Amino acid sequence: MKKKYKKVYSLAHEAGYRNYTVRDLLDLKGKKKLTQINVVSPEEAAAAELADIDLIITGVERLKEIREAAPKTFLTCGIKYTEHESKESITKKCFELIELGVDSIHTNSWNINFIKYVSDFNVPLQGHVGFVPMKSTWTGGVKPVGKTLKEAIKIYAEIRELEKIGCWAVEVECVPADILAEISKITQMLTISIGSGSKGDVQFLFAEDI
Amino acid sequence: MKKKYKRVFSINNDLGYRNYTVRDIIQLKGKKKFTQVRVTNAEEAAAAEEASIDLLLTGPGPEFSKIRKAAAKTFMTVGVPFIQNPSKREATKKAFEVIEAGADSLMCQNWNLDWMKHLSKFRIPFQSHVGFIPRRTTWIGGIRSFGKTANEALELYRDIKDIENTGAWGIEVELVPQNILAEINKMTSLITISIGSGNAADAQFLFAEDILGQSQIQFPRHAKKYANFDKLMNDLQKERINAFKKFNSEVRKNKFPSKKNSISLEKKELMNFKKFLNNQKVTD
Repeated sequence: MKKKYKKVYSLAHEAGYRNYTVRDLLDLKGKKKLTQINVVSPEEAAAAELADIDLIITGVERLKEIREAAPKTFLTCGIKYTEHESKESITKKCFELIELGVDSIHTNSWNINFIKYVSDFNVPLQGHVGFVPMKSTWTGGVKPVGKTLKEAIKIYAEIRELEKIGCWAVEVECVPADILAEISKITQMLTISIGSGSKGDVQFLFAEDI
Repeated sequence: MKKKYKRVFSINNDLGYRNYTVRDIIQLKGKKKFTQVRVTNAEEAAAAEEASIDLLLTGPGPEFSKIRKAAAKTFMTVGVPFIQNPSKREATKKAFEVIEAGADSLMCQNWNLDWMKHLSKFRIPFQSHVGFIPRRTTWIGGIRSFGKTANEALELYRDIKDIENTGAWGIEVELVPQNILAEINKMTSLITISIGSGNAADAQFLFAEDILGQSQIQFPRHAKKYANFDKLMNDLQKERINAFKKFNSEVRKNKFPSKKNSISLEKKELMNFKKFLNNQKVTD
Protein backbone atom coordinates (compact mmCIF):
# COMPACT_ATOMS: atom_id res chain seq x y z
CA MET A 1 0.00 0.00 0.00
CA LYS A 2 1.09 3.51 -0.84
CA LYS A 3 2.43 5.41 2.11
CA LYS A 4 0.19 8.24 3.25
CA TYR A 5 2.90 10.89 3.42
CA LYS A 6 6.09 11.32 1.46
CA LYS A 7 9.28 13.11 2.36
CA VAL A 8 9.53 16.43 0.57
CA TYR A 9 11.25 19.76 0.57
CA SER A 10 8.81 22.61 0.87
CA LEU A 11 9.04 25.61 -1.46
CA ALA A 12 11.06 27.23 1.33
CA HIS A 13 13.51 24.29 1.36
CA GLU A 14 12.23 22.86 4.67
CA ALA A 15 12.42 19.09 4.86
CA GLY A 16 9.09 17.59 5.89
CA TYR A 17 6.23 15.36 4.89
CA ARG A 18 3.30 15.97 2.56
CA ASN A 19 0.38 13.98 1.22
CA TYR A 20 1.04 15.30 -2.30
CA THR A 21 3.50 17.26 -4.36
CA VAL A 22 2.22 19.38 -7.26
CA ARG A 23 3.57 16.72 -9.62
CA ASP A 24 1.54 14.00 -7.85
CA LEU A 25 -1.60 16.06 -8.17
CA LEU A 26 -1.06 16.69 -11.88
CA ASP A 27 -0.41 12.98 -12.42
CA LEU A 28 -3.65 12.10 -10.64
CA LYS A 29 -5.79 14.20 -12.99
CA GLY A 30 -8.61 12.01 -14.26
CA LYS A 31 -7.57 9.15 -11.97
CA LYS A 32 -8.63 10.22 -8.52
CA LYS A 33 -11.36 12.40 -7.12
CA LEU A 34 -9.74 14.85 -4.76
CA THR A 35 -11.17 17.07 -2.03
CA GLN A 36 -10.27 20.61 -0.97
CA ILE A 37 -11.57 22.49 2.06
CA ASN A 38 -11.30 26.14 3.01
CA VAL A 39 -10.31 26.33 6.69
CA VAL A 40 -10.10 29.37 8.96
CA SER A 41 -8.82 27.89 12.23
CA PRO A 42 -6.17 25.41 13.39
CA GLU A 43 -8.96 23.19 14.74
CA GLU A 44 -10.53 22.89 11.30
CA ALA A 45 -7.11 22.32 9.71
CA ALA A 46 -6.21 19.55 12.18
CA ALA A 47 -9.58 17.87 11.62
CA ALA A 48 -9.13 18.07 7.85
CA GLU A 49 -5.73 16.40 8.05
CA LEU A 50 -7.07 13.64 10.32
CA ALA A 51 -9.99 13.10 7.94
CA ASP A 52 -7.58 12.73 4.98
CA ILE A 53 -8.87 15.73 3.12
CA ASP A 54 -6.50 16.06 0.15
CA LEU A 55 -6.04 19.80 -0.09
CA ILE A 56 -6.65 22.69 2.25
CA ILE A 57 -6.83 26.36 1.48
CA THR A 58 -6.83 29.36 3.80
CA GLY A 59 -6.18 33.10 4.01
CA VAL A 60 -3.14 34.82 5.43
CA GLU A 61 -4.80 35.66 8.77
CA ARG A 62 -4.01 32.49 10.77
CA LEU A 63 -1.70 30.81 8.30
CA LYS A 64 1.09 30.02 10.74
CA GLU A 65 -1.15 28.22 13.24
CA ILE A 66 -2.99 26.44 10.44
CA ARG A 67 0.22 25.20 8.86
CA GLU A 68 1.33 23.87 12.26
CA ALA A 69 -2.02 22.16 12.84
CA ALA A 70 -1.93 20.38 9.47
CA PRO A 71 1.75 20.19 8.59
CA LYS A 72 1.42 17.34 6.10
CA THR A 73 -1.49 18.41 3.96
CA PHE A 74 -0.99 20.27 0.67
CA LEU A 75 -1.82 23.84 1.66
CA THR A 76 -2.77 26.73 -0.59
CA CYS A 77 -3.02 30.27 0.71
CA GLY A 78 -4.95 33.11 -0.88
CA ILE A 79 -3.62 36.66 -1.24
CA LYS A 80 -6.05 39.54 -1.72
CA TYR A 81 -5.16 41.69 -4.70
CA THR A 82 -6.36 44.89 -3.02
CA GLU A 83 -3.54 44.70 -0.51
CA HIS A 84 -0.80 44.69 -3.16
CA GLU A 85 -0.59 47.44 -5.70
CA SER A 86 2.42 46.13 -7.60
CA LYS A 87 3.81 42.86 -8.83
CA GLU A 88 6.84 43.38 -6.62
CA SER A 89 4.67 43.79 -3.55
CA ILE A 90 2.58 40.73 -4.32
CA THR A 91 5.71 38.69 -5.03
CA LYS A 92 7.17 39.72 -1.71
CA LYS A 93 3.99 38.55 0.03
CA CYS A 94 4.17 35.23 -1.84
CA PHE A 95 7.73 34.72 -0.63
CA GLU A 96 6.65 35.48 2.93
CA LEU A 97 3.93 32.83 2.72
CA ILE A 98 6.34 30.35 1.19
CA GLU A 99 8.62 30.86 4.17
CA LEU A 100 5.66 30.00 6.38
CA GLY A 101 5.32 26.67 4.59
CA VAL A 102 2.60 27.03 1.96
CA ASP A 103 2.64 24.65 -1.00
CA SER A 104 0.72 26.85 -3.41
CA ILE A 105 -0.80 30.32 -3.74
CA HIS A 106 -4.37 31.19 -4.75
CA THR A 107 -4.45 34.15 -7.16
CA ASN A 108 -8.09 35.06 -6.81
CA SER A 109 -8.82 38.23 -8.86
CA TRP A 110 -5.17 39.19 -9.42
CA ASN A 111 -3.99 41.19 -12.39
CA ILE A 112 -3.11 38.54 -14.98
CA ASN A 113 0.34 40.12 -15.44
CA PHE A 114 1.02 39.70 -11.72
CA ILE A 115 0.08 36.02 -11.96
CA LYS A 116 2.52 35.59 -14.83
CA TYR A 117 5.26 37.45 -12.97
CA VAL A 118 4.95 35.23 -9.87
CA SER A 119 4.63 32.09 -11.97
CA ASP A 120 8.02 32.83 -13.52
CA PHE A 121 9.51 32.09 -10.10
CA ASN A 122 7.98 28.59 -10.40
CA VAL A 123 5.63 29.25 -7.51
CA PRO A 124 2.69 26.83 -7.84
CA LEU A 125 -0.40 28.90 -8.46
CA GLN A 126 -4.10 28.24 -8.45
CA GLY A 127 -6.47 30.54 -10.39
CA HIS A 128 -10.18 31.22 -10.14
CA VAL A 129 -12.83 31.46 -12.89
CA GLY A 130 -16.61 31.41 -13.30
CA PHE A 131 -18.39 33.21 -10.50
CA VAL A 132 -15.63 35.12 -8.70
CA PRO A 133 -17.17 37.11 -5.83
CA MET A 134 -14.77 40.06 -6.11
CA LYS A 135 -15.41 40.32 -9.84
CA SER A 136 -19.11 39.56 -9.78
CA THR A 137 -20.20 43.06 -10.75
CA TRP A 138 -18.83 42.13 -14.22
CA THR A 139 -20.87 38.94 -14.39
CA GLY A 140 -24.12 40.41 -13.11
CA GLY A 141 -24.15 39.63 -9.39
CA VAL A 142 -24.44 36.48 -7.34
CA LYS A 143 -25.46 33.97 -9.98
CA PRO A 144 -24.03 31.17 -12.11
CA VAL A 145 -21.68 32.07 -14.94
CA GLY A 146 -21.39 30.11 -18.19
CA LYS A 147 -24.99 29.33 -19.04
CA THR A 148 -24.65 30.96 -22.47
CA LEU A 149 -22.22 30.13 -25.22
CA LYS A 150 -20.56 33.54 -24.92
CA GLU A 151 -19.93 33.16 -21.20
CA ALA A 152 -18.74 29.57 -21.62
CA ILE A 153 -16.22 30.66 -24.26
CA LYS A 154 -14.94 33.36 -21.93
CA ILE A 155 -14.41 30.82 -19.15
CA TYR A 156 -12.62 28.58 -21.61
CA ALA A 157 -10.35 31.43 -22.72
CA GLU A 158 -9.52 32.37 -19.11
CA ILE A 159 -8.66 28.78 -18.27
CA ARG A 160 -6.44 28.50 -21.33
CA GLU A 161 -4.63 31.65 -20.31
CA LEU A 162 -4.02 30.42 -16.73
CA GLU A 163 -2.81 27.13 -18.15
CA LYS A 164 -0.40 28.91 -20.48
CA ILE A 165 0.96 30.94 -17.56
CA GLY A 166 1.68 27.69 -15.73
CA CYS A 167 -0.96 27.46 -13.00
CA TRP A 168 -1.40 23.92 -11.70
CA ALA A 169 -5.07 24.32 -10.85
CA VAL A 170 -8.10 26.50 -11.28
CA GLU A 171 -11.07 26.94 -9.01
CA VAL A 172 -14.24 26.87 -11.11
CA GLU A 173 -17.17 28.38 -9.27
CA CYS A 174 -20.87 28.09 -10.13
CA VAL A 175 -20.46 27.00 -13.74
CA PRO A 176 -22.91 24.53 -15.35
CA ALA A 177 -21.74 20.97 -14.71
CA ASP A 178 -21.74 20.08 -18.43
CA ILE A 179 -19.52 23.03 -19.31
CA LEU A 180 -16.92 22.13 -16.69
CA ALA A 181 -17.10 18.49 -17.85
CA GLU A 182 -16.11 19.54 -21.37
CA ILE A 183 -13.39 21.94 -20.28
CA SER A 184 -11.93 19.59 -17.69
CA LYS A 185 -11.25 17.03 -20.42
CA ILE A 186 -9.08 19.38 -22.43
CA THR A 187 -7.04 21.26 -19.83
CA GLN A 188 -4.00 19.82 -18.10
CA MET A 189 -4.76 21.89 -15.01
CA LEU A 190 -6.70 20.34 -12.18
CA THR A 191 -10.18 21.79 -12.11
CA ILE A 192 -11.48 22.53 -8.64
CA SER A 193 -15.27 22.57 -8.61
CA ILE A 194 -17.36 24.54 -6.23
CA GLY A 195 -20.93 24.38 -7.42
CA SER A 196 -19.73 23.33 -10.88
CA GLY A 197 -20.73 19.69 -10.80
CA SER A 198 -19.04 16.38 -10.26
CA LYS A 199 -16.69 16.41 -13.26
CA GLY A 200 -14.11 18.66 -11.67
CA ASP A 201 -10.90 16.92 -10.60
CA VAL A 202 -11.34 18.32 -7.12
CA GLN A 203 -14.46 19.02 -5.06
CA PHE A 204 -14.10 22.14 -2.98
CA LEU A 205 -16.21 23.30 -0.02
CA PHE A 206 -15.85 25.68 2.91
CA ALA A 207 -15.35 23.99 6.29
CA GLU A 208 -18.04 26.21 7.78
CA ASP A 209 -20.56 24.93 5.23
CA ILE A 210 -19.59 21.28 5.74
CA MET B 1 -33.38 48.44 42.67
CA LYS B 2 -29.94 49.63 41.62
CA LYS B 3 -29.43 49.73 37.88
CA LYS B 4 -26.95 47.20 36.56
CA TYR B 5 -24.94 49.66 34.49
CA LYS B 6 -24.20 53.33 34.96
CA ARG B 7 -23.32 55.98 32.44
CA VAL B 8 -19.61 56.80 32.54
CA PHE B 9 -16.81 58.41 30.66
CA SER B 10 -14.01 55.94 30.16
CA ILE B 11 -10.42 57.00 30.84
CA ASN B 12 -10.05 57.84 27.16
CA ASN B 13 -13.15 60.04 27.32
CA ASP B 14 -15.53 57.68 25.52
CA LEU B 15 -19.09 57.89 26.74
CA GLY B 16 -20.48 54.48 27.63
CA TYR B 17 -21.82 52.22 30.36
CA ARG B 18 -20.00 50.30 33.08
CA ASN B 19 -20.95 48.03 35.97
CA TYR B 20 -18.49 49.86 38.26
CA THR B 21 -16.22 52.87 38.43
CA VAL B 22 -13.02 52.60 40.46
CA ARG B 23 -14.69 54.71 43.15
CA ASP B 24 -17.59 52.22 43.38
CA ILE B 25 -15.21 49.31 43.78
CA ILE B 26 -13.19 51.05 46.49
CA GLN B 27 -16.36 52.00 48.39
CA LEU B 28 -17.64 48.43 48.30
CA LYS B 29 -14.57 47.10 50.13
CA GLY B 30 -15.80 44.91 52.97
CA LYS B 31 -19.41 45.21 51.75
CA LYS B 32 -19.45 43.04 48.69
CA LYS B 33 -17.70 39.91 47.44
CA PHE B 34 -16.41 40.59 43.95
CA THR B 35 -15.50 38.16 41.22
CA GLN B 36 -12.75 38.67 38.68
CA VAL B 37 -12.11 36.39 35.70
CA ARG B 38 -9.17 36.39 33.33
CA VAL B 39 -10.39 35.99 29.77
CA THR B 40 -8.41 35.39 26.59
CA ASN B 41 -11.02 35.70 23.88
CA ALA B 42 -14.19 37.53 22.93
CA GLU B 43 -16.48 34.54 23.61
CA GLU B 44 -15.25 34.23 27.20
CA ALA B 45 -15.58 37.99 27.71
CA ALA B 46 -19.14 38.08 26.38
CA ALA B 47 -20.09 35.08 28.55
CA ALA B 48 -18.57 36.73 31.63
CA GLU B 49 -20.55 39.93 31.07
CA GLU B 50 -23.77 37.95 30.54
CA ALA B 51 -23.04 36.08 33.76
CA SER B 52 -22.55 39.39 35.65
CA ILE B 53 -18.94 38.69 36.57
CA ASP B 54 -17.80 41.92 38.28
CA LEU B 55 -14.29 42.41 36.91
CA LEU B 56 -12.41 41.16 33.88
CA LEU B 57 -8.70 40.87 33.34
CA THR B 58 -6.95 40.28 30.02
CA GLY B 59 -3.76 40.92 28.09
CA PRO B 60 -2.89 43.74 25.67
CA GLY B 61 -2.59 41.48 22.59
CA PRO B 62 -4.45 41.71 19.30
CA GLU B 63 -7.53 40.07 20.86
CA PHE B 64 -8.00 42.95 23.29
CA SER B 65 -10.11 45.20 21.08
CA LYS B 66 -12.47 42.28 20.35
CA ILE B 67 -12.64 41.42 24.04
CA ARG B 68 -13.48 45.02 24.95
CA LYS B 69 -16.28 45.06 22.35
CA ALA B 70 -17.61 41.71 23.51
CA ALA B 71 -17.87 42.90 27.14
CA ALA B 72 -18.29 46.62 26.67
CA LYS B 73 -19.84 47.33 30.07
CA THR B 74 -17.68 45.33 32.45
CA PHE B 75 -14.82 46.90 34.41
CA MET B 76 -11.79 45.65 32.55
CA THR B 77 -8.17 45.55 33.62
CA VAL B 78 -5.45 44.96 31.05
CA GLY B 79 -1.94 43.74 31.74
CA VAL B 80 0.98 45.84 30.54
CA PRO B 81 4.03 43.56 30.54
CA PHE B 82 7.20 45.24 31.77
CA ILE B 83 9.49 42.99 29.72
CA GLN B 84 8.27 44.38 26.40
CA ASN B 85 8.22 47.92 27.80
CA PRO B 86 11.58 48.28 29.48
CA SER B 87 11.49 51.90 30.63
CA LYS B 88 9.17 54.18 32.55
CA ARG B 89 8.49 56.07 29.36
CA GLU B 90 7.74 53.00 27.23
CA ALA B 91 5.56 51.44 29.92
CA THR B 92 3.60 54.67 30.20
CA LYS B 93 3.24 54.87 26.43
CA LYS B 94 1.94 51.31 26.29
CA ALA B 95 -0.41 52.12 29.19
CA PHE B 96 -1.84 55.03 27.18
CA GLU B 97 -2.29 52.78 24.14
CA VAL B 98 -4.22 50.27 26.19
CA ILE B 99 -6.34 53.04 27.68
CA GLU B 100 -7.12 54.33 24.19
CA ALA B 101 -8.29 50.83 23.33
CA GLY B 102 -10.77 51.00 26.22
CA ALA B 103 -9.18 49.62 29.38
CA ASP B 104 -10.63 50.78 32.72
CA SER B 105 -7.55 49.81 34.68
CA LEU B 106 -4.09 48.36 34.16
CA MET B 107 -2.40 45.35 35.69
CA CYS B 108 1.14 46.39 36.63
CA GLN B 109 2.55 42.99 37.38
CA ASN B 110 6.21 43.04 38.37
CA TRP B 111 6.49 46.71 37.61
CA ASN B 112 9.11 48.83 39.17
CA LEU B 113 7.40 50.76 42.03
CA ASP B 114 8.65 54.08 40.63
CA TRP B 115 6.89 53.43 37.35
CA MET B 116 3.66 52.74 39.21
CA LYS B 117 4.00 56.01 41.13
CA HIS B 118 4.62 57.73 37.81
CA LEU B 119 1.44 56.20 36.37
CA SER B 120 -0.50 57.39 39.43
CA LYS B 121 0.50 60.98 38.63
CA PHE B 122 -1.68 60.59 35.53
CA ARG B 123 -4.52 59.33 37.76
CA ILE B 124 -4.61 56.03 35.91
CA PRO B 125 -6.24 53.20 37.87
CA PHE B 126 -4.14 50.10 38.22
CA GLN B 127 -3.82 46.94 40.24
CA SER B 128 -0.69 44.98 41.02
CA HIS B 129 0.35 41.55 42.26
CA VAL B 130 1.92 40.06 45.41
CA GLY B 131 2.53 36.67 47.00
CA PHE B 132 3.49 33.95 44.57
CA ILE B 133 4.34 35.73 41.31
CA PRO B 134 5.12 33.24 38.52
CA ARG B 135 7.89 35.41 37.06
CA ARG B 136 9.59 35.72 40.43
CA THR B 137 9.50 32.01 41.16
CA THR B 138 13.27 31.77 41.17
CA TRP B 139 13.52 34.18 44.15
CA ILE B 140 11.32 32.03 46.37
CA GLY B 141 12.69 28.68 45.32
CA GLY B 142 9.99 27.33 43.04
CA ILE B 143 6.24 27.12 42.58
CA ARG B 144 4.91 27.31 46.13
CA SER B 145 2.75 29.31 48.47
CA PHE B 146 4.18 32.50 49.92
CA GLY B 147 3.77 33.81 53.46
CA LYS B 148 3.76 30.66 55.57
CA THR B 149 6.40 31.97 57.97
CA ALA B 150 6.16 35.14 60.03
CA ASN B 151 9.10 36.60 58.09
CA GLU B 152 7.50 36.00 54.73
CA ALA B 153 4.15 37.26 55.96
CA LEU B 154 5.87 40.46 57.07
CA GLU B 155 7.53 40.79 53.67
CA LEU B 156 4.12 40.34 52.07
CA TYR B 157 2.62 43.00 54.31
CA ARG B 158 5.39 45.42 53.33
CA ASP B 159 4.91 44.64 49.62
CA ILE B 160 1.21 45.40 49.94
CA LYS B 161 1.85 48.62 51.82
CA ASP B 162 4.44 49.70 49.22
CA ILE B 163 1.93 49.11 46.45
CA GLU B 164 -0.81 50.87 48.40
CA ASN B 165 1.52 53.88 48.60
CA THR B 166 1.93 54.00 44.82
CA GLY B 167 -1.78 54.76 44.43
CA ALA B 168 -3.00 51.36 43.20
CA TRP B 169 -6.68 50.50 43.76
CA GLY B 170 -6.32 46.73 43.89
CA ILE B 171 -3.88 43.92 44.55
CA GLU B 172 -3.90 40.35 43.32
CA VAL B 173 -2.75 38.12 46.17
CA GLU B 174 -1.63 34.72 44.96
CA LEU B 175 -1.11 31.54 47.01
CA VAL B 176 -0.94 33.14 50.43
CA PRO B 177 -2.28 31.37 53.58
CA GLN B 178 -5.83 32.54 54.06
CA ASN B 179 -5.34 33.61 57.71
CA ILE B 180 -2.51 35.91 56.65
CA LEU B 181 -4.56 37.57 53.94
CA ALA B 182 -7.51 37.85 56.34
CA GLU B 183 -5.31 39.84 58.75
CA ILE B 184 -3.68 42.03 56.10
CA ASN B 185 -7.00 42.69 54.38
CA LYS B 186 -8.22 44.57 57.44
CA MET B 187 -5.18 46.85 57.37
CA THR B 188 -5.07 47.93 53.72
CA SER B 189 -7.34 50.19 51.73
CA LEU B 190 -6.49 48.16 48.62
CA ILE B 191 -9.12 45.83 47.17
CA THR B 192 -7.53 42.43 47.71
CA ILE B 193 -8.04 40.00 44.88
CA SER B 194 -7.41 36.44 45.96
CA ILE B 195 -6.25 33.62 43.79
CA GLY B 196 -5.58 30.70 46.06
CA SER B 197 -5.43 32.99 49.13
CA GLY B 198 -8.71 32.16 50.82
CA ASN B 199 -12.12 33.70 51.19
CA ALA B 200 -11.38 36.76 53.33
CA ALA B 201 -10.31 38.75 50.26
CA ASP B 202 -12.53 41.39 48.66
CA ALA B 203 -12.48 39.66 45.27
CA GLN B 204 -12.10 36.09 44.10
CA PHE B 205 -10.07 35.69 40.94
CA LEU B 206 -9.88 32.70 38.58
CA PHE B 207 -8.82 32.04 35.00
CA ALA B 208 -11.68 31.42 32.59
CA GLU B 209 -9.87 28.35 31.26
CA ASP B 210 -9.82 26.83 34.78
CA ILE B 211 -13.48 27.64 35.45
CA LEU B 212 -14.37 26.13 32.07
CA GLY B 213 -12.21 23.04 32.52
CA GLN B 214 -9.83 23.59 29.65
CA SER B 215 -6.53 24.23 31.42
CA GLN B 216 -3.42 23.89 29.31
CA ILE B 217 -1.35 22.97 32.36
CA GLN B 218 -1.88 20.62 35.28
CA PHE B 219 -5.04 21.78 37.05
CA PRO B 220 -4.11 24.08 39.94
CA ARG B 221 -5.30 23.16 43.44
CA HIS B 222 -6.68 26.62 44.16
CA ALA B 223 -8.95 26.61 41.12
CA LYS B 224 -12.32 25.02 40.57
CA LYS B 225 -13.87 23.60 37.41
CA TYR B 226 -17.47 24.54 36.78
CA ALA B 227 -17.68 22.95 33.32
CA ASN B 228 -15.87 20.39 31.20
CA PHE B 229 -14.86 22.25 28.06
CA ASP B 230 -12.01 19.84 27.37
CA LYS B 231 -14.61 17.17 26.72
CA LEU B 232 -16.94 19.53 24.84
CA MET B 233 -14.11 20.68 22.58
CA ASN B 234 -12.96 17.11 22.03
CA ASP B 235 -16.47 16.09 21.05
CA LEU B 236 -16.68 19.09 18.74
CA GLN B 237 -13.42 18.15 17.07
CA LYS B 238 -14.62 14.55 16.61
CA GLU B 239 -17.73 15.92 14.91
CA ARG B 240 -15.55 18.05 12.62
CA ILE B 241 -13.41 15.09 11.63
CA ASN B 242 -16.49 12.96 10.99
CA ALA B 243 -18.09 15.61 8.80
CA PHE B 244 -14.88 16.02 6.76
CA LYS B 245 -14.58 12.24 6.41
CA LYS B 246 -18.14 12.02 5.10
CA PHE B 247 -17.41 14.75 2.56
CA ASN B 248 -14.29 12.86 1.43
CA SER B 249 -16.14 9.58 1.10
CA GLU B 250 -19.10 11.04 -0.79
CA VAL B 251 -16.78 12.70 -3.30
CA ARG B 252 -14.83 9.46 -3.88
CA LYS B 253 -18.08 7.54 -4.38
CA ASN B 254 -19.44 10.21 -6.70
CA LYS B 255 -22.36 10.86 -4.38
CA PHE B 256 -21.42 14.53 -4.00
CA PRO B 257 -22.16 16.79 -5.76
CA SER B 258 -25.56 15.54 -6.87
CA LYS B 259 -27.79 17.20 -9.48
CA LYS B 260 -29.28 19.20 -6.65
CA ASN B 261 -25.88 20.83 -5.93
CA SER B 262 -25.12 21.52 -9.61
CA ILE B 263 -26.06 24.02 -12.29
CA SER B 264 -27.62 22.99 -15.60
CA LEU B 265 -27.87 24.84 -18.92
CA GLU B 266 -29.94 24.60 -22.07
CA LYS B 267 -29.05 21.77 -24.45
CA LYS B 268 -28.68 24.21 -27.35
CA GLU B 269 -25.99 26.25 -25.53
CA LEU B 270 -24.09 23.10 -24.61
CA MET B 271 -24.18 21.82 -28.21
CA ASN B 272 -22.85 25.14 -29.47
CA PHE B 273 -20.06 25.09 -26.91
CA LYS B 274 -19.06 21.57 -27.94
CA LYS B 275 -18.97 22.74 -31.57
CA PHE B 276 -16.78 25.65 -30.53
CA LEU B 277 -14.35 23.32 -28.73
CA ASN B 278 -14.17 21.03 -31.75
CA ASN B 279 -13.23 23.98 -33.94
CA GLN B 280 -10.57 24.95 -31.38
CA LYS B 281 -8.97 21.53 -31.73
CA VAL B 282 -8.66 22.12 -35.49
CA THR B 283 -7.04 25.51 -35.04
CA ASP B 284 -4.76 24.51 -32.09
